[in-house]
Amino acid sequence: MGPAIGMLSIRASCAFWVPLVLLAATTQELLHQAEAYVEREQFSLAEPVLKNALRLEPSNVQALHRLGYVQYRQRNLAEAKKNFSSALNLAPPAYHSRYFLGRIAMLENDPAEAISWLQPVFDSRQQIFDTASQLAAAYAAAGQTEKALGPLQIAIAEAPWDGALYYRLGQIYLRKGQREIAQEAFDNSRRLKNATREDVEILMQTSRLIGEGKKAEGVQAGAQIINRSSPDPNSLVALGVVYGTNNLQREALDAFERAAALDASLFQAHYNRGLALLKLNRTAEALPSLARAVELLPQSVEANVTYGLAGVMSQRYTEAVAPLEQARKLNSSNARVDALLATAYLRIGQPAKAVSVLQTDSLRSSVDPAPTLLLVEALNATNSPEKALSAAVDARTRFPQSPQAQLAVAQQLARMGRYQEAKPSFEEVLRLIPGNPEAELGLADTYQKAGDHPAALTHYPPAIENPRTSVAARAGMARSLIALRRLEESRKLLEDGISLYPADPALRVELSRVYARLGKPDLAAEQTRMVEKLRSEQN
Amino acid sequence: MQRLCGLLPLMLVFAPAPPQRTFVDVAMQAGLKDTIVSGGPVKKYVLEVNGSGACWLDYNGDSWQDLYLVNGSTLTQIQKRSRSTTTNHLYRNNKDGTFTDVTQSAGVPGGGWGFGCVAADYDNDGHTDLLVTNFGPNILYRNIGDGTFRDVTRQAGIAGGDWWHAGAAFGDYDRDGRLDVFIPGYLDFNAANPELKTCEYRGIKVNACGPMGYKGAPDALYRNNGNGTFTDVTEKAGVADKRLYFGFQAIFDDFDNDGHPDLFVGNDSNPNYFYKNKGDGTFRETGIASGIALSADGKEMSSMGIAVGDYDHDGLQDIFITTFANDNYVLFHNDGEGFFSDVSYPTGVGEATIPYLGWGTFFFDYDNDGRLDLFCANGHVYPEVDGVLQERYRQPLQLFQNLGNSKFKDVSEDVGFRRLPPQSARGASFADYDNDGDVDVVVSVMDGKPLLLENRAPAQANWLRVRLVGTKSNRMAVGARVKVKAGTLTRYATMRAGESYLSSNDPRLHFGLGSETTADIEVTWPDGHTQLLSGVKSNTEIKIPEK
Repeated sequence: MGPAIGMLSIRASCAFWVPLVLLAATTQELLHQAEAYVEREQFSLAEPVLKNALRLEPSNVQALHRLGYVQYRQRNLAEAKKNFSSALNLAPPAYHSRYFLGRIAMLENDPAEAISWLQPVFDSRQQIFDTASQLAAAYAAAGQTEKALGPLQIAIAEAPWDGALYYRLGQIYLRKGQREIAQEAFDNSRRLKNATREDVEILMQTSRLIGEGKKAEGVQAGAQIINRSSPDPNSLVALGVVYGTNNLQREALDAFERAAALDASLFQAHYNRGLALLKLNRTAEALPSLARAVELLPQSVEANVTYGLAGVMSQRYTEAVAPLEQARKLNSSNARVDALLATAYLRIGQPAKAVSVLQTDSLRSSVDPAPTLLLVEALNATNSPEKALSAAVDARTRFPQSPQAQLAVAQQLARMGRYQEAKPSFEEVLRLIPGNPEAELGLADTYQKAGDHPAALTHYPPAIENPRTSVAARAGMARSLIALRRLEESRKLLEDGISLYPADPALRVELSRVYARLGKPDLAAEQTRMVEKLRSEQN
Repeated sequence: MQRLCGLLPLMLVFAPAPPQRTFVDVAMQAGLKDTIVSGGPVKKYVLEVNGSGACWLDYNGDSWQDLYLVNGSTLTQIQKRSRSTTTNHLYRNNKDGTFTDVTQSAGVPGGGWGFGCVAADYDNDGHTDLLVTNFGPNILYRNIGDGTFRDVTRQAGIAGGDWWHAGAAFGDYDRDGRLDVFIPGYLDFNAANPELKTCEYRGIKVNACGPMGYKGAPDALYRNNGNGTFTDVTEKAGVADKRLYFGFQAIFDDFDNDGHPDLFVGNDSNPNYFYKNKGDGTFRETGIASGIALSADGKEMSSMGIAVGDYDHDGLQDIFITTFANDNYVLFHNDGEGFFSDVSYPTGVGEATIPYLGWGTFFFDYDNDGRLDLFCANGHVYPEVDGVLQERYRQPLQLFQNLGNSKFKDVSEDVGFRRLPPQSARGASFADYDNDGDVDVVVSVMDGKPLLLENRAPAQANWLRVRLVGTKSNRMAVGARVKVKAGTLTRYATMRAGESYLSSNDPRLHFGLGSETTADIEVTWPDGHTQLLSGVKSNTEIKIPEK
């Protein structure tokens, strides 16, 4: 026996050793081993390891998914599909597996299938790789450019440094015939492509750090762009988008403000500044930036909608009308825009226009009763109580579980003087929302109109507690107390009410009555004078 | 016998209902055939939509009520661009159910654009005179006593200038035995060069917009000097309409039972005025404090017509006001001491009146059951609503029967009102024109013939009619309060001159007595002293001179 035997022994023992090692390894150990190969992109080595793991545990979802991945990377698409599908079947929703199934579908030139895989991933709002960008590409490939827009805009928000995304955006707008916006997107693309590689890397690093939960480090990384002596405004905008996407609104605002200061004609800077301010609830401050954005790019639906929204939120309704009308012209059948525009028209005293906006198809088919209830308000403002009642009844029919719709019917009937008909609807609202102040007030009024003042008095107090209904409830309760000759109680109620609402004439009218009945004509006369003064001021 | 008794329940079940009391329009047969003009057929201006009034008066002293119907005009006529063809009409009662037009011979054609009328014996000579309120100067016709009248406006001093005057009322506010007069001013309208205003009413464009957008016209109180002249005491008495509200109809009555007649003025789309008589020749305005300036919801009303009556027999005069469409008419209960509460809904008149637009209105006992019922003459102002909205330009009359428990029931259908063609009605007043013991109604209709609604019932409940003659008080006894007690019911009425809408009612006080055959009467004269008559037989008219 010489060295040959020893070598054979060693070789033999090695031959035995490997299987022994394999047999002895757990699934977890195999997965770790495969992962190490994947990180080094040694996919052909990772594959058998994963297959072995699956021999040990055929239903191991992680192994199935990783096997699918390494096969995908080797473009063994058929096998990859099988394994991803198995992972999905075993552990839905398996968004990561879905993502790759979508990628495979795109490689197989089947955008429809790609959409079916990618849409749920996108909808889950979990940022899985570049789902948004892939989905946008799938829609575009399927010829559904309109549907590509939303995911593409999300993709841009996630990777604002990627000029290619802006290019794709420009293409979509071009196909939609919106040349101005398309040109803006192409310009952005060009500017970002010209941005320094260093800026791009900083942006990616910032995004990664924040995504990993390291917000402070992320902001510190981003500060490298901000602190440049001449920062690139486009990089600043991209940085702001990174911050904004990750809810760092103050930091985002800072970046946008700097960009806007550097380039007054940069639409993205002004638009995003406005958006950041809105998100910080500084709605009135957002208006000038959004106005500037609309001025720079009047064809931008988003800018017009956002400007209009800011106007409505800050009760600058007149200012909100023009951008919302423009948004409507650019993109009809948008229920949100219609509702905002109708609100603005209603608040500036043009209810007829509000009615015509609210009667469009987009709002008629809304799954939210709010637009129909706004229509009720608008129809009342145009003195069309019967139509308002029809609209309210329609809302109640379409949304039978909606207490607001029920309340709208009740209030409309009361407004039309049909108090006894309104009573069951008020009672139903209270069954759905006990203590609802509007319903309590309405019910109290119906009792008062029927002459049942004691019953009215049980329902006014909850309405008095709520600022929305307090004045009307106090006045109503005072009237019932007067009817029951409980004058001192009425007096106290009204005096307290006037200290809270000194400019409301309704309470003073009733207090004048009470003082007169208490034999205090001078106090009554004083309240009468105040009523006349307040009414003439209001007129 | 047993067989008959067996049939009795069936007979009771199938016994015919008592004959229903109905109102039948007999205007044409009665000879009231002149059209009441109010502008052109297309209503372009607010001047053309408010119509005119109707007054009952016994101008010739024959104890039969004659009728004065005011007529409007057209813009071209008052602009003198065309011949004046419209006149008011005085119809003499022929005592046989017919009337004869005696306008020209009586000398009361009116002039310009007529609106309201009030019949009152302002000079205490025993003959009923006539005040016509106009767009433009008013006209006071003094009844000479020989079937003719003389225009004494200039001498009297109550022409009032070129304002638009509305529903006047006579009352002896200072209790000096002479009838004073209050004339509300409506609005300042430039007839020479009218502005065509277009506005929106419930989403449709209408032309005859108003009164908002116009300046109001001032009210005036004229004190009777006793020598055929009046003095404007508006400012001195404290009833100056400083805010220039749009005054439609005034009424004098002692609402707080303190012996002094108070003054209520219904203002269109503005708070109403309630002038409490202080007893010293002046008034204090307390509309808001009294609870009658605004509705229960604190809203101004389009107060067109005013009805005053004690519907619940508590001795206090209540007030009912007709208003605009989609707003209920308002019944104010007099709570005493000059305080009022809106009881429209609990009494049942609230919701029933929402669809209508009301004008002439009054309390009267149409069925003589002793309880005051309520009449409303309705009609829209905008012809444009027809075919577009649920409201109609021409509307039915309404009658609410007093059920006796502070509730009213709409019996318009039962009394035949729904069989009448709907009208755009305006002024209305009641009188027992045929002296048959029940109260009839005249209605002035815009651009149409008036309605004369004869009250018909096969069987009568009992009644009593009181004609007061003042001797120390004003001759017509305006301001006197009559209390009639018959059985368990006590009824109260005030003698008034000028109410409803631009109109005057029968100057005799009518009381339904139900099944009672005698009544006790207590008269409280304007100066406060009382006079009692006991055991007065029913179904008669009793003349009570002041003692």
